Amino acid sequence: MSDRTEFLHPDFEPGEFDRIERELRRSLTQESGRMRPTDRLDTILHEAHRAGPVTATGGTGMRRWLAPAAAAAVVAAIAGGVWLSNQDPTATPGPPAGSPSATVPAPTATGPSATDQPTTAPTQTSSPTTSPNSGPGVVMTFPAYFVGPVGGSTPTYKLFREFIRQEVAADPTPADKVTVALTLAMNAQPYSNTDGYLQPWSGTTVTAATVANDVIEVRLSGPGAEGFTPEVQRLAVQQLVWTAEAAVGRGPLPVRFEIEGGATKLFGSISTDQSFTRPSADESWKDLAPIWVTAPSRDQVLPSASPVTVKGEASVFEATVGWELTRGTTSVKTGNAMATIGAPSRGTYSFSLGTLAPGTYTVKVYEASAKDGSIAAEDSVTFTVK
Amino acid sequence: MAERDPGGDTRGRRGGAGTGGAGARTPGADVPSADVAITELYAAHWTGLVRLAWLLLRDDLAAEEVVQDAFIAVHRRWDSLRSHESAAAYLRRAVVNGARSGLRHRGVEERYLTREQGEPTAYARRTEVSAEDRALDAEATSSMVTALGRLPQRQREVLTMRYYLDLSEAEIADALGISAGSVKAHAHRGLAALRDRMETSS
Repeated sequence: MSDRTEFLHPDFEPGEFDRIERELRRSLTQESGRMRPTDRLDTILHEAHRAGPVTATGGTGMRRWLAPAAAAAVVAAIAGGVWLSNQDPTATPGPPAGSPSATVPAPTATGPSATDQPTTAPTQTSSPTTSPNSGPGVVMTFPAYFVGPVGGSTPTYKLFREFIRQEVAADPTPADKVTVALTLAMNAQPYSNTDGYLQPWSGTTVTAATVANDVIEVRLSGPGAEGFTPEVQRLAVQQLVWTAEAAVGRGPLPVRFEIEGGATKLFGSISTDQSFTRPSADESWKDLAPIWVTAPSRDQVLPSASPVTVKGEASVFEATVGWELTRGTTSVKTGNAMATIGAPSRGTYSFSLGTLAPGTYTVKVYEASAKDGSIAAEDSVTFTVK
Repeated sequence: MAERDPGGDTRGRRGGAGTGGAGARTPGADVPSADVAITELYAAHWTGLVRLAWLLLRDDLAAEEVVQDAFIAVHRRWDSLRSHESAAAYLRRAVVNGARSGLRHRGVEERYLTREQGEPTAYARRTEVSAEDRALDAEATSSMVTALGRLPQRQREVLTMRYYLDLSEAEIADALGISAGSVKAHAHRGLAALRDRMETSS
């Protein structure tokens, strides 16, 4: 090939090395294919920001002094796998999708599925030959979204968020996190009896996920289960979108889907030839259930010595929610609370139940219909005081 | 509900672009931010450069670390590099230099060659025996790669960059910090030595 003759010494005939060149090219291609680089883009960006830019004079940039704190944070994230923000999915209203490690509901709180769920080794798909992360896994908390009934007399479905603790291989890549989070979100079975969460992804698995700077790509084993209304189908797709975006933690990255076997329509009706994202904050009501209770967390055990505070998010008329505390079938207390902002925006609310005698309680937070006072939306959580 | 708040859209897009603070430091509007540039460079060169480093180093983790360091260095110097061409050239220089110092400091070269000599079909870790590997090609690859591994460092670098990454003579000269004439000479001597060894062995 003529483009390689530039390498030949004038003393030699062109073509003399043709065979060896061909052989060498083939050998190097084949040999290098044995090495599968792992994804390190996030690490590169983190490290580069931590170190700061090198200035024209050769010194390091002004961010240098920030390094110790940032380094400590990175170390903490890697070592612990979780950032304990202790039972305070904090004051941030609106887009409730933190990165998976950002929030741990409480040390004692685990989703019902966290322990008894079969560990389906979800990471195996996203990086089959990932580097020898032979160290012990870390436990991370993943926000997973589910399609559930908002309450009220008409069957309306929206998204609810659960924090699920799951052990993963140390130092997971964003793609690993997406795979794990989606696998958790697609298994609604542990919640379907207690919370009525639908199982639109029953029988479907995530077979691969990739995370680029500007897109999350997800490969599914199938198009989803049959028999759901168009709105539930839409929410089922959004459920995965919110979960994947939260797992990556870089805002509303577009999400694209691909279905094994060449199908191009999720649920047979939603084209995969488009990218999906969560709506902007002021339109989150389209996807998210009007009321979430975020604290106490599900089945949390609280000390009887301290007052119990209930927190959550709400997108409700005139920012008003009602609540009722029950113990068994007995109503213990009722009240009203104000969210920080009313619908269509999504605000946060918080109210105290005071100190409670030991026992198991359920707190229900609801929106009363402006029309007739009936319950239009609700969420509830059960917890124990000891 | 029909109204869309344009402000909300803008907010969403900016949040999703992943363009970090480094962009704000760049004066020219048409120079992409360091994050964007690195992400694009990463997409284009990460796999190739890691494999190049691996071919030179024969150590998975060391190869990734060398290339990772090169990308971090480019990110930190993006304000002065400012173009993909100069950044790609910087990456190649950094990777070749990193691979060399890796070899010097860890003696992995010796370990690799010893292993290869003792057991011609043994490869570095994280190698999988697949169907293709069992094909006849594997044997030829193995002996060719072994022969390449026994060449002097410069010849090995030149041939690997040329026949694995398909770099031009000028690009190789730049990466290695030598003249184009030297690249030619190293390539030629290397090929000649490989030809001799392959002929002897077959």
